[in-house]
Amino acid sequence: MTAAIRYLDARSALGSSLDECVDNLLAGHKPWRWQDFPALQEPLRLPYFALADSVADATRIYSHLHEMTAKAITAQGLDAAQRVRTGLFIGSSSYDVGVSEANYHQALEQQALDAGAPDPLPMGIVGYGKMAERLRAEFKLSPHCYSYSTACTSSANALLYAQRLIAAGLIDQALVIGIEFFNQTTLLGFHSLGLISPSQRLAPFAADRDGLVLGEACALVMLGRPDAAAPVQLELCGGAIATDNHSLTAAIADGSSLASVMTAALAETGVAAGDIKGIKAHGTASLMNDEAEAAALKQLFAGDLPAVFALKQFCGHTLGACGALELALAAGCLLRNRLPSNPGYQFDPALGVALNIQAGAAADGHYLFNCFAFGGNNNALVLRKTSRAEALQ
Amino acid sequence: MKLISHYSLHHSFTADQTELPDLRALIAPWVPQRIRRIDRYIELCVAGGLNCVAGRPLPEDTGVYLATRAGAVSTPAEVMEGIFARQDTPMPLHFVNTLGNTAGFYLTQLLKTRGNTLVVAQEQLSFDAALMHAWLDLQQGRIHTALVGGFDEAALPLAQHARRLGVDAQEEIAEGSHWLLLSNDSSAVASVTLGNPIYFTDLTQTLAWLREQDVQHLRCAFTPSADEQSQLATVVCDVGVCSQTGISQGAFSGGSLIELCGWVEQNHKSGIHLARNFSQGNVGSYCALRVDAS
Repeated sequence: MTAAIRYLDARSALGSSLDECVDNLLAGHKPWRWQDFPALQEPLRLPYFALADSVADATRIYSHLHEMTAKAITAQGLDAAQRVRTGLFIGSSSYDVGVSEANYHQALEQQALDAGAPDPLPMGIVGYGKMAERLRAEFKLSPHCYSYSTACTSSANALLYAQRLIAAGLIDQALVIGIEFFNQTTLLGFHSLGLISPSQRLAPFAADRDGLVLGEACALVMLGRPDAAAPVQLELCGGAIATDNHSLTAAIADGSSLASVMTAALAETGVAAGDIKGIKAHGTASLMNDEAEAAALKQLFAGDLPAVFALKQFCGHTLGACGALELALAAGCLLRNRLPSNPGYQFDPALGVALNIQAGAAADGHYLFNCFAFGGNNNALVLRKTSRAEALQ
Repeated sequence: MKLISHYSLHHSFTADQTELPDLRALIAPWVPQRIRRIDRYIELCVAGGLNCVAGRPLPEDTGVYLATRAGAVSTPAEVMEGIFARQDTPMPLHFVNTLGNTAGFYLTQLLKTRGNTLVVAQEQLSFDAALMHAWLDLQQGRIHTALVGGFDEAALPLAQHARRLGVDAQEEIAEGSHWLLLSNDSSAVASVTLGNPIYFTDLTQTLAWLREQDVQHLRCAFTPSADEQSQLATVVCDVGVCSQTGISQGAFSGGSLIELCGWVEQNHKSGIHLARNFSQGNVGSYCALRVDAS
């Protein structure tokens, strides 16, 4: 059974609402800025897709999460009986580690001023599930309240299990949230791995791609029963997770493991490759990810590849939030009957996969969404778009 | 769900202890060569998972469902100290070991599984959450074999870790790794079967369900309050509490479930596993499941 997408919201570098994010995405904006690290032994600046508010306030993660959840519940008019049948599914790769960093930094500064101050405690806040439990208790949601931590697939996995719990009848609705906020551990960790684009360009599948640019985001997708009155119906049909334990930080370059998760997603949803109208690529613009993803797409779709688009160049790679954020952004475009595109992209003949460069109409039918993660955790989801005229037939 | 195998590793420490038990001896029977670059969090996962599987051949599509309450702690703390106290950038492999699913990478690589792998948390119900996801996939026929593990580390220095957990310096600090290997294959032989995890929003709902079960033995993965104890005793005559310490500190409710499985196996009677989430002063939710002798 599919789960209908009932409500969407997103906050990212593109904007503070889904509409603003989609407007800027369709206009081709790429609003990255410099993030400085002046305190390091070797001071550093890195490109970053930040939200409009200050990254210096680490605790804003809590207010964004709370505001978006409250707004969704209000917008959907969920009463007490409906809320207790509403599951909560959060995916993030870092949760509130930025708050731990801020507390630790502040404690170090206090100790420097006053030797009698309490010992600084690194990683002082632990518990992936704390934020979800706090929201569940406040809004009296279902006890089906889960937090996923599988790096970049965290919120994609949250979406998949939300759909599965709805299909199993265990809940009626699901609030699925992808959240990733600025923290130094993550940004400097990716820098150490040599994955940040030296040209500050995140150019997926392009001949001159040279790495990624990270970003922060909070995105919410509400799944539930279909709304028969909606002019365009979007449904999450299902998907699959598969494991590639070839390398901690890269998929097998021949694409076999990524092809297997896409194949499993199609099998799970009963959709043939030939029925896919468009593909949201994971497209990190790292050399090896794009190579493996391109190889997988060619294996699965042979010479009949549908339109492929990638979204990270507009909002950055938002890691654990990217599943929910990119689904919200793409869905926001599809609801406007627009297919996202990557204008200005330069085809890489070595990859042999061309991104969609023409803005155009989004056809009704099935769409494939890829998300891949460090640790070899790969996810593929299948979405269906139906316009009301077709739904009535 | 048929229980094919189980394994529990549980340690408790006082805050003044400066060393943790070496886990390498638990890994060595299954992987003779030393696994490089793994920290204690990953060692707990690998040691638990390998000892539960104990060399059994697993289908490649075996689902691996990992539960943790806190995730990796010692390596992220070390990385944070490096950045803020020493103004260093993290070492690449240190950074990768801060991620939630790196432990699963090593385990699935050693077990040669390529199917569904997940890391899920739900505070004190974290193990039960992983079991819930495994049950869902087994029940819907996506997989036939599931490995479910809950693990959390005690990070040195333990006095600091006690502060993280919000436990008294006098209280014992726990680390553990608790595992179940489950199958829905009709040909699988098992002396114990597990029902589906059922969630309840409060004790009243839990008691109503318990009344329908006609089961006399209940094992709590928490220390019941006096009120809970008296109410539970009205519907189940034998209310036991897990013998392990610090169960609420991590994804350790599986330790209580495994104790119950042992009791069911030994006594050829049915029992109920009950776990509770009661964190941050919030109204708790409960998760229960039946364990029956086959």
